Amino acid sequence: MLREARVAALEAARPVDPRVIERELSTLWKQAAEPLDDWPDDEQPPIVRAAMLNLVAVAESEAAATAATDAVRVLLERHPMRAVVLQMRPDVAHEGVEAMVQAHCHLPTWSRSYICGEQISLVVQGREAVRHVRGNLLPLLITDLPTVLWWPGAPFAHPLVGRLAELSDQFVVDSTSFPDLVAGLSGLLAIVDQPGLQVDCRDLSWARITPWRSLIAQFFDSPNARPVLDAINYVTITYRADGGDTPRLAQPLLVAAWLASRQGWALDSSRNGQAVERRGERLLLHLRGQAHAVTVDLRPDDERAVAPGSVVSVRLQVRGSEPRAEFSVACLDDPAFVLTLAQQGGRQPVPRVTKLSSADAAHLLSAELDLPRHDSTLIGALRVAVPFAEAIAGHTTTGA
Amino acid sequence: MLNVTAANPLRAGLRMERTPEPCVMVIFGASGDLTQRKLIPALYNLANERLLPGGFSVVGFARREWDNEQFRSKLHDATSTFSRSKPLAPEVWQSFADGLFFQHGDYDNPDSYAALKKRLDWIDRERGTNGNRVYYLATPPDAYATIANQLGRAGLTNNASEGGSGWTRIIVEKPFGRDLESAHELNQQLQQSFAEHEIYRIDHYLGKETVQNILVFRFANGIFEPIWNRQYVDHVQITVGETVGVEGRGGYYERSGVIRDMVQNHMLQLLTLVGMEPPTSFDADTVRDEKVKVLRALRPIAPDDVDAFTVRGQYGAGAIAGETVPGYREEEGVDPHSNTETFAAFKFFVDSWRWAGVPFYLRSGKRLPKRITEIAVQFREAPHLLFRDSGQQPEANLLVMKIQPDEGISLRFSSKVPGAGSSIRPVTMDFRYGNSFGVASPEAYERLLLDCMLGDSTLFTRNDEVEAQWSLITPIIEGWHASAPPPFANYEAGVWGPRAAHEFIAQDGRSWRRL
Repeated sequence: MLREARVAALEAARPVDPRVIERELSTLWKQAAEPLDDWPDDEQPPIVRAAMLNLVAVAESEAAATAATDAVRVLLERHPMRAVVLQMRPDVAHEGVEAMVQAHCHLPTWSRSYICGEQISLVVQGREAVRHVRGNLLPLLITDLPTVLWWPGAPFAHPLVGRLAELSDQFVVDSTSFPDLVAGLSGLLAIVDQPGLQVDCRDLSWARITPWRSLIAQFFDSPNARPVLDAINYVTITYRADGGDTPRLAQPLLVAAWLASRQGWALDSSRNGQAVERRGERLLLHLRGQAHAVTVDLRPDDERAVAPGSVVSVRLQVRGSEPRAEFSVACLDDPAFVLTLAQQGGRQPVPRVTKLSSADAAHLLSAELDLPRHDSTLIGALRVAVPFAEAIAGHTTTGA
Repeated sequence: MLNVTAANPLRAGLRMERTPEPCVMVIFGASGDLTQRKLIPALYNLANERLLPGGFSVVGFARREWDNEQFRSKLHDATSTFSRSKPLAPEVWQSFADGLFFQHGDYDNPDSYAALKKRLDWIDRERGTNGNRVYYLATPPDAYATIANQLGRAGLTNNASEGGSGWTRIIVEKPFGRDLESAHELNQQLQQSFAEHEIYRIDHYLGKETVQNILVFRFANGIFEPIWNRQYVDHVQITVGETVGVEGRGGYYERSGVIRDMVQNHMLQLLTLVGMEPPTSFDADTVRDEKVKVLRALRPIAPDDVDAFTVRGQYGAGAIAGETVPGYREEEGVDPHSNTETFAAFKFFVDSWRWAGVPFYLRSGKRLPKRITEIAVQFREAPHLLFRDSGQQPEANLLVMKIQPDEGISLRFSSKVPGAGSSIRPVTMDFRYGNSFGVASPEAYERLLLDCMLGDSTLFTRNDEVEAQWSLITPIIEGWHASAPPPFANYEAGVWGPRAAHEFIAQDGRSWRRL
């Protein structure tokens, strides 16, 4: 019990003088390493301080800071790190910085040691302090470790986004939360294209569709099915509607943009600006590949119990010519699982049920941190998604 | 590891370059422990991680009179117990179980194979597996040749289905032969029905992440390779220690001993990974070519030399972790006068420019104090004693790759003790997988089964590799048989082998690591 009490003490957030954060952290870990009186040596709580990266999580509110702290706790189970949860409040009259430190520990099932990382929470108040936030942040980054800037919400509405991105090796956003999808995706591409800035950009909405991409790609791993991919001419992407006027299109649009970027489909310019067609709630994107026209049909769905904007099903079809083929991935009633079906050459499809990965931000970010640096497939999809989003914006008010 | 350009454009940027084509895995010996404890749980985990293709199917082949439902029920219970993804997701299990079938049959009965063929043709039609088949021999080794032969005679080794181009692979479990002659004979028997590139000899050690990391450590880091040679390395120690005894497998162990159970396969694999030259690419044959070169460069130990280069031991009664345990000769299924070795130590030399004169000490045994597998590379001492007032020669650097448990790598170097004077003490830099990567490694079988389905044989043993292993080991076994064994039991359970093992290395002015 004493072990648990010691870990709990480590995990309790404590206010510290922002000028001596490193010293406070050092004290924290020294205390953790001190042997417990009256305990035999082999029963001392083994506590390992570990860090593989710096994570700077920008929180736009107190609630967001709490959510970021919860996410850091989850992330640390897979990625030992130093996390800085940063709140910027330029509108507060009093200039200054408040800081708290705490540890997060977990006991892996395969380990005898608690593995602990640390979190520094910074609240930077006042216009000047916010303007100079980098001076508060930089000394807190552990030397030689990669720095990940995670900015959920609306980063491109903030004047400091570029400067903070410059500090990082990886910049992670979530396009589902962009209030303006065109501006958000364009902003992300601008970071990618900024000369001299070598930041690896990531999007958690892209991470949400990664299991979908994987399952769709799997249909065409078989040499027998591979040629059919080039004949696909109708794609239906169903997504969870949110009931508002501004459909959350980031995820379905990224699926469409991914397929288009890989297959060389572009908006059909021969339609004189009518490449996007609205049919009731549906949006049809008319595309042209090298050999044939392709329609992408974006359909809202009100039934599945998933977060607004989430993809509910994807169906790829060869329509109107023989041999017909259809490949689909669709959420079951329990949206943690999907059913895949491949129908080709008159053979009855073999249903397969498999599991989707967790779609919460912490798990998605954790999975993204496992991936190799620089996702050129995402960048390719973004370059297609921006004109798609612009064309759709001409037909509807487009939220993320 | 197979360098295949992804023909599927949708694969770009995804974690897997590709997933297997739809296929059927036929498991011979499907009612046995291996199937229930390892194979099916591994396949379920792959299904759970979306790594198996739609239509993937398993046919269990065994003598039992089970039907499909009984087979599925048994496997459900086993997977619930042994899978690392617990509890099972009912939706995923049901979908996976729809592809599980049982085929009753005898290994030597042609009618059984005719029935198997019929069932496989049906699966190809109904589940779209296109004639793609993996045969897994999870049977006693004396059935391997019979099964391979019967598969060939039944036309089950050439599976191009109607209009398709199916492939065939066969996975063979250890032990692969008992000596060079039997291994060679088995290779020939398998090759009558299968081409060498279709034969996957499994050594589950190669499926372990930490074993694969030996190559990454050596060849993805520029600083180690320049010192990985006789100029800087004094010697190498490889230890595989087990705390367990024969665990009810006395009959098997009596025929194998530690040399066949551990040394011929796992330990020589570790040695080759440490000793090999950098391959020019990471494809299966290039990597295995380099491993075979090391085996061929290993100086043979002639039967007359076994006393100079090897030590044998057998445990007697003792205690491990507070528990009294019986001696080997008291174990169930063991001859009370058995001379089977449960411990062995070896000194090998790799006669190459890189390793000339560097001894590789290997030791492995049962009922040792700790379950541990590690490779220790002991570097030479600093050439000149600069810090004379420290009163001692600094300890030489030591690099340890810990395969299990506490997987990781540590480097020992000397450091000044704070304070006046130049007192020097060794300190250790430690890397622990568990601390840096907060994720449990997948089971070795998951990786190996997936690799086989993908046609990547890098982590499997090639015929020339296995024969080179036996070429080295067979004369040692012959030498042991020709000479009188030491007075067994010669070490008590719970210690690091017989005294002779310590004297063996001490005569070279070295000592085993204290583990």
